[in-house]
Amino acid sequence: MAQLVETHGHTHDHESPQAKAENLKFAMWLYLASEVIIFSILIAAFAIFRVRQPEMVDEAREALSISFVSVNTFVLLASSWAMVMGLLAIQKGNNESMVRWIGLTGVLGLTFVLLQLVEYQELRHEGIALYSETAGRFGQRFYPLTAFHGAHVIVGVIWAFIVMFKGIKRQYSPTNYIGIEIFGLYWHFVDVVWIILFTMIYLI
Amino acid sequence: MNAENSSSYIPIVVILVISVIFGVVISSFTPQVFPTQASAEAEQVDNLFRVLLGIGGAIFFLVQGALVWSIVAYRAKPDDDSDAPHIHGNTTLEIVWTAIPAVIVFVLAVLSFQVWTSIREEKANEQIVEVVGQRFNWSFTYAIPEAMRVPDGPTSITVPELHVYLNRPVKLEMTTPDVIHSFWVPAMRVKQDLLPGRTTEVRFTPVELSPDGGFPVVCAELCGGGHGGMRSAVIVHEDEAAFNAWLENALPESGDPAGAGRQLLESGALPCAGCHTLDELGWTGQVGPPLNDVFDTAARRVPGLTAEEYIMQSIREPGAFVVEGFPPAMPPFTEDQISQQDLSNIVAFFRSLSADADDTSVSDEAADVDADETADIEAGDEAADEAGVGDDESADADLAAQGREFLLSSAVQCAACHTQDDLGWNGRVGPPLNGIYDTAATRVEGLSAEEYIRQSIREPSAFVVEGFPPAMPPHTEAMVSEEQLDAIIAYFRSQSEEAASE
Amino acid sequence: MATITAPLDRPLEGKRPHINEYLRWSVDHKIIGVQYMVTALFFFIVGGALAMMIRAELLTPALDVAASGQQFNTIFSMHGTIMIFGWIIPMMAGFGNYFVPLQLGAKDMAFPWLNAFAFWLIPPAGMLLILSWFIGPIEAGWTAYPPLSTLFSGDGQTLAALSLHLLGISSILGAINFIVTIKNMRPPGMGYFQMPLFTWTILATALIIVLATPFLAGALTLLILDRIGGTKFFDAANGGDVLLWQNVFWFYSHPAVYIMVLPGMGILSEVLAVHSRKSIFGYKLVALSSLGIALIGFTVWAHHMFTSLTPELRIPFMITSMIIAVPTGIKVFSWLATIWMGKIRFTAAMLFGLGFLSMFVIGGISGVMLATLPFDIHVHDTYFVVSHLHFVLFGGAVFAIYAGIYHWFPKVTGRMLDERLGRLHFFITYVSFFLTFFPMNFAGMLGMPRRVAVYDPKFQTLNVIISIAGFVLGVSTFILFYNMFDSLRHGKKASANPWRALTLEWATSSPPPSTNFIEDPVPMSDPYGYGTTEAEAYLYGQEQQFGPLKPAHFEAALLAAASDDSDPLPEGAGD
Repeated sequence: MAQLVETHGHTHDHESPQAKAENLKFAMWLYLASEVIIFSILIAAFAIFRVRQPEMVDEAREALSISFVSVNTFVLLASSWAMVMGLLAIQKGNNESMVRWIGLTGVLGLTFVLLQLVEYQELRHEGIALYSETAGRFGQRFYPLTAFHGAHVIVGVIWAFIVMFKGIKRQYSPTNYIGIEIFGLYWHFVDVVWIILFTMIYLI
Repeated sequence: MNAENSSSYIPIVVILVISVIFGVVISSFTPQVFPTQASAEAEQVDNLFRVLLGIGGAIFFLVQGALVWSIVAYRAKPDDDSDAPHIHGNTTLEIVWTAIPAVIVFVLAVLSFQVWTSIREEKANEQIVEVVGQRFNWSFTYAIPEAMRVPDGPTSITVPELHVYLNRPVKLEMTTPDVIHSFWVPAMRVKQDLLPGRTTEVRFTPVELSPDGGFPVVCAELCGGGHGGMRSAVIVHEDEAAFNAWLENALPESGDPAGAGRQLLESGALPCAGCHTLDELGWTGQVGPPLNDVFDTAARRVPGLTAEEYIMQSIREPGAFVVEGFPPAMPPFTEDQISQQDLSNIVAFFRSLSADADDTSVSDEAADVDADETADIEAGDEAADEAGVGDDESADADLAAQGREFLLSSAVQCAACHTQDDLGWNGRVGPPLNGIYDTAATRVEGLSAEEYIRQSIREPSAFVVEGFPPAMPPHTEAMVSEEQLDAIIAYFRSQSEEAASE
Repeated sequence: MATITAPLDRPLEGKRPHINEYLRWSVDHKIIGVQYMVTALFFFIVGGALAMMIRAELLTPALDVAASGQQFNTIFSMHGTIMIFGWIIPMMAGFGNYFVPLQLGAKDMAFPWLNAFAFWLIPPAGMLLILSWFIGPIEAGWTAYPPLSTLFSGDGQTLAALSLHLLGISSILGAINFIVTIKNMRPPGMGYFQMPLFTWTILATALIIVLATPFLAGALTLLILDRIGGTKFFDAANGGDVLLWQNVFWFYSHPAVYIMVLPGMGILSEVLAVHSRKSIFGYKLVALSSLGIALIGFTVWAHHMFTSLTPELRIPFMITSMIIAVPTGIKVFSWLATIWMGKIRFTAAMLFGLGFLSMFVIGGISGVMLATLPFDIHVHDTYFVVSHLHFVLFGGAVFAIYAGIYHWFPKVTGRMLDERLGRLHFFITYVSFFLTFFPMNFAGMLGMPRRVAVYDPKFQTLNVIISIAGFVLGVSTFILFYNMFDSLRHGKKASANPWRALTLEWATSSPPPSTNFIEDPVPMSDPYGYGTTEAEAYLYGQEQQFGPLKPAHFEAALLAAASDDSDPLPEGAGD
């Protein structure tokens, strides 16, 4: 027998800020998962090369300037730290401080990119091209990997400035900072990838 | 879990039983869907397939049977709007239909493993043949048995077909210089890709004599426009004697080193006649010393140096032994210009002229073989038969057709370097040959298209096209006979006429 | 306990969006869904035309239709690439886009803007692909093996690779959207095991996409670098390896076939249950088997390389490839048990559903045969494989798409498709499909390789049969297209729930209002609870809200329609 029952009147509110924030964070994690995979492919290519032809890597390392790149690494790490400071600032309600910190993140990121370009120039002079007869095989693993990472940094820098401008327009608050949080996830990811790259290409 | 009465089990049981019978019956059709079992491996593969077909047939019938039964028995009555009984599932049944397929695939995996290991294992006393697949032909290289070899002569022979004999296990070692190909003999049930940069292997044991034309060999990996036409054949001889008889026959008759050397010198590809006199070949050059009896002279000229060594060195570095009274004008001939084999052939030729030489008679024995020379000679003989005797007035069209056939045969590898749309060639190393006849007519002043093409084939270094590497080897008469060259030129001319008449 | 809201004054009428709304940027998942589907149907026609060219060429053993062997290679390369990346994958995405939010009782996807962005990557990608033909045609098959694809394929190969990059990004963004939506936007009362099976398969598919597509991106990047960057990843003479491509490419492309087939299986579950008015047998196991297939699907890739992979490594892949037959078998048997003792209505949707069961099983059987390594050695790269792939992708995925169209067209457009034309479409398609692709098994086993324009004359008889059946199959497609166009204007008006189904997309008008539901719907505790009193109550409630649902049994409706031809709608009504 059919009966009419009144609606429960649930508002399973998918519109609430918390729900939206959760969605965005989860989405960012999924996106990073796919990024992890593609970086892994390029990293694996380099690793295999490293194991199979250590002489080529050692030879190329003579052209690479480890100290220079170490400075760059420090710059990127500092930018991550600035990122964290920015997030803390907005969580405490300090918008101006957040804007400054995020701006610093972007500037440091930009610095990283520029210094990497300088490093690329150096390598070109040393003859390490994308492919050349001599150090060519190193180049074809080095450039795609670092350039792919560099592209991600560039996107992050642009994103940082967007976040900064939004902050200037006071779009964030201690209850609404998900935009900064997911940017942070992305930025930290890019940083972690760099640590791995740096270690593999320059150190071990 | 309700509303299941026992009567609904009956159709299921019936279907199951019929499925099994159906599977068994279907599997008996196995031979109809395969080529003949020409290898020991074929029988094993076919038997495995019989099992697959039986199981597959049974499952096929089970599913289709259940479908048909459902359509008939469980059709909704026209006025019935109601739902069917609510059946959620049946754990036992679900376990059963998970477990049974799992068992089936386990059994299949075990059987397959056994067949695979058996096919792959190394057999005793394998005949080893080297295979090269390149766009778009196959070539097979056989070691010439000691007994058939000529001292200092070639140790292997290359032909376009695979020759084997009954019950001798075969192992193919395969390479390719260009793209991925795949060697497949359906009758033998074996297939293996050829990968650039690697040597791949495949094994089989022939157990059946081949029909006319041999068992087809097919390329099974897309390799370009000519992929479909990249075919060959496996010829299975009755026994080792028959195989050896073929091998001896295949070694070029007129191609003993002396004959090959003679052909090379007569071909005009080398400029020797310009400076030397040699009565045997009608040379009248006056610049360098005459070459009549050069073999005997050479044997005595430098103490400790044999005639062969002297002649070879005189050609490679003429400055070493300039004969007094003659200018040091002879250029050195590098390996690019005269290969080691050609050099041996030249020496053999001179030896044959010498009264002191041991065998001056043309023999059947192993001869110098350039990669495709043998096949070329054979093909050349055929083409000569077709184009020459009894067909003197063959229309240009016929000649062009023969030229086309020759170009598409395995005798030459122009496709590896040249593009030609009509032939389906896609090479990128040398200049494209579309419209070559027209280009050739005007490229060099005073040279007709025929002359240009002829010379470009005989001595390609004469007219290297700018922007392309000087990589084309000279094609001697041993590789491309005069008749074949005429046919090639006729073909290119026909292409131009076609274009002109469009 | 399922409920519907209190009765309204009048039944809700669906209002179809104006056609202009489909031609521009919209963040409404329903519009985007239709955009995906129409784009996909366009590529279906293009890919189908290419197939007709292939079959025309293969009527004779010689080369006579294509201008050259090379051009023939381009034709089938484009055919494969377009059908996979332009037809099936976007079509499934279209169904998912339209129906997942509805089945979840949600207003839209989690990220509507991202949804639109993902769609709008497709038209430019499609244009790049078509452009490649004119720049320098690809000729290495959709599988694009180097060195053929790096050294000999035309410049269009680079464009095609870029096009696939765009499509891959679109795919990944869409998949992220689906996963977040399904995870976070289910209504109260709908745990994972109360979700409709179509949504389950979309979830499994989306997980595959996120994890597998980056591999395609990696492979494509290496290919592009080799072609224009001077690198030597695939150049054996310089330290490269052609197998690198094969491994990375297939690591994506095998899971890709499950991307294509799993949503189809989800559609099948919906259609079979509704049109036989019976609960899905073993719902939980069917749901989990989708995840099982997705997972195991990542372990089988090298069975595409059984003749090129190092011989020692081949056995493990044989084993995993056989294992994946088990969850697939679970599904097939569950579906059979679903319709067993059901009350089957032979709607066009159901016919295609049954056709799927019939044909997909054949593809599955030939799949297990292909997993059997020694046999695969014989038939790899032959017409046996062409047969298998078409049985599972056409007899499987496309039949499921057809079933989905017949099933859901009323919901999307507010009109019923003509059932008689639907039956005609089914019968012609079923027979011609079988006659086109089954004989290919024999051609392959007897010695005909694939991807050839010229073949041994002994295969001609088989090829003629195949080609003629193929032409019929091609033409029969237009019956559906005609049906769709005609029904848009003249089809019988559809009620909210003409099939009297229990999933939530049917708990709103046809088509749904822009916010999908007037009030938040409450789902049935069992979306396949046919035969329960709860279901009766639920449907009764719907009738109160939406007015009479069409009779469930369509033969009665057909008879009624046959005697009642005076019921076309006035022009413009319902638009």
